[in-house]
Amino acid sequence: MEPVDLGVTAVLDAPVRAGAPARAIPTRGLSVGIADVWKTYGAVTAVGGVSLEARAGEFVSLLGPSGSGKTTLLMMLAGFEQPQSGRITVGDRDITRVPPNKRDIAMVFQRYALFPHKTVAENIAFPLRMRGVGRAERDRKVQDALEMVKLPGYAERKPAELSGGQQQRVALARAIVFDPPVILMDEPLGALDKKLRQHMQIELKQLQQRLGATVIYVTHDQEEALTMSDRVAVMDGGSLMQLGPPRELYDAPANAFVADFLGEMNFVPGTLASAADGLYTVNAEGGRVQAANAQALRPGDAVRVAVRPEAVTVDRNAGPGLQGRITHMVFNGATLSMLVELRDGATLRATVGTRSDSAEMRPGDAVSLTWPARDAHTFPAETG
Amino acid sequence: MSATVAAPGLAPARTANAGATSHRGQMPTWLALALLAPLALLLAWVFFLPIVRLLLTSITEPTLNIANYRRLLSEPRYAEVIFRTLWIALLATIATLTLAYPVAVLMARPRSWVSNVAAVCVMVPLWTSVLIRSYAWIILLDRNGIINQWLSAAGLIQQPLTMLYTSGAVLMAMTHVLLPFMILPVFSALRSISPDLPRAARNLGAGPVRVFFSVTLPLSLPGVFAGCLIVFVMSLGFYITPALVGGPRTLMIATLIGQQATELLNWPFAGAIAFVLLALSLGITACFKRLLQLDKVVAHD
Repeated sequence: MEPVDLGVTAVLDAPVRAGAPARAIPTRGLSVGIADVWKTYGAVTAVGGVSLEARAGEFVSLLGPSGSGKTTLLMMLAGFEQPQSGRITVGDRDITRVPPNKRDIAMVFQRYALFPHKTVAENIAFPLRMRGVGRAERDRKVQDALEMVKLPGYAERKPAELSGGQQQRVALARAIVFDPPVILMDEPLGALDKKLRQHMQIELKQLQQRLGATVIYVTHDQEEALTMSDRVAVMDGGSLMQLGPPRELYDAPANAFVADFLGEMNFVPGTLASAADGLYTVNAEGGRVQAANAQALRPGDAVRVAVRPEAVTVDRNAGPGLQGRITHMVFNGATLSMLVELRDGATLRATVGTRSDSAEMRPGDAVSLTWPARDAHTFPAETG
Repeated sequence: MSATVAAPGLAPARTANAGATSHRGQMPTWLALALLAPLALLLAWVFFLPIVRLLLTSITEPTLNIANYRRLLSEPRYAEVIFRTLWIALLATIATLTLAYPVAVLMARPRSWVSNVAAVCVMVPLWTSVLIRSYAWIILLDRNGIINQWLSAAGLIQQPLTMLYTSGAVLMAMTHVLLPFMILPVFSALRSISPDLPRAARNLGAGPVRVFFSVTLPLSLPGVFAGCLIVFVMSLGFYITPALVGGPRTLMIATLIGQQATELLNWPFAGAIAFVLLALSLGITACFKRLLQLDKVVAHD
């Protein structure tokens, strides 16, 4: 093939290229809208006024501890639970009161939920039968789906004859076989061992990109959420705490919960001394520290400064920043964690590269801790 | 054989599975035998020994012959009893299944007070004596019983209806008494279906009716078969209820045995009938297992 040099030829070429094994499959996902959805069980609010929007073809994770409302939200998307108020839409269609079987949304269950009395092929053909797809097309699509999840030749087996990972693939094939615009996943990799899980994460993500379907993915595993998602919605206590790309959540948490929940985080209590041009100076017990954040705080407020262990620089010489003493050095392989006890007895964690100079320090060494102001965030002190 | 009609790649997985099953709950053979021994001895002493002796008398008294069996099979009166027993047992099985399935579905519903009420309604009669429950039917169905009183008070009948001592009464009372033995296995089977399965079916596009017929019903079949087998075999040998609410015209095998043994003191003939009953029960159980291949219907877990 000649490289395309003119816009005109490119346009003329387009139909020909579509017939070739083109990589770019148009997005066929639909956007998912959740608008001010409430769900209570008696006095317990499972989901309290959550609004979020997943764009067409986007991979959005709902991440949170158990009881955060993420599963309830997913159940409402699937139609197994009814919200007390609010609206759920797929594309332009309001599905808030639509029964589950009419929603055209696929779901992958944590425990696979394969029909044990049906063969793999019958399981995968089930949604097609429900849609009245003819036998020939059904067989073809089942084969395609099995190939897609790399299980050709397993069609006639019963689910009980497959391993956990294989069952999960069948569940996936069953969910994608009818080309749903939206796929819900409820911790689909939770029952797999770590190695297989990491492998499946990549496969799942690739599959989603090939299909172009919108995926709403529930997990309590932050690593999984950060690895796979286009955007992550962090939930706690039935509310949405923050929605954003993984990097943004990690580097710029909107509140102390997100800061604490994702990855490792040090919290240094102190009093806000001054705020100027988005730069905050905080008087802490061990010294004076700087931080950046957009929180509306005033000098004199009790605050917490959040800083990630890998942002902390450990210096042997007394200097600016927090003063302390190394108590433990923990070898993690590529990195080394240092536990530094501050003057007030609080402990801060710093992570350095195993081959860096700081790795040469020993427990008992007096050190000073600093960090770039933009890597630290100031939040109001915990109340109550 | 049906087992060989499968994809070629199937064999290794099957073997692996069978291996996993045989390793489950390992126990030394001597320990297993020791645990079984007390029950086995008791049963041998109080159950098998008398039965064997009774069956032996049926062919040895007064001399070694099979006259008792010839009589049982040649006299139409006795063949009629056997067929009536089979027929009533079949009807009772169908009736209990029809009544039990919806109740079991109700009981298996998660987290609902209705399921608790249903469970109590099923269990309490089970703790009541069969005798009491059968007498209750006499009180209801008698010529001067509650139903006749109500019907005549309502002006619907002039003459009291004959309901007691009919096959209908036997069938109705037996259905009532045996109902829990159908409900419990069906309930247990329904309960073991993961709630994810009907949900998955709904999610994939099945309406409530299709969910029932393509998921719930097939997965509950092992319980249905177990219940049918229990109820049918129990009906074949049922004594108290047919003896109380059935009359001489509705003689069943068990009541016939009782008559021969206690009234006519013809123990050899009673033994012969008992042997036929035993053969029927065992034969039907074996056929059931063979025909339905319970373990093949559902191979989950």
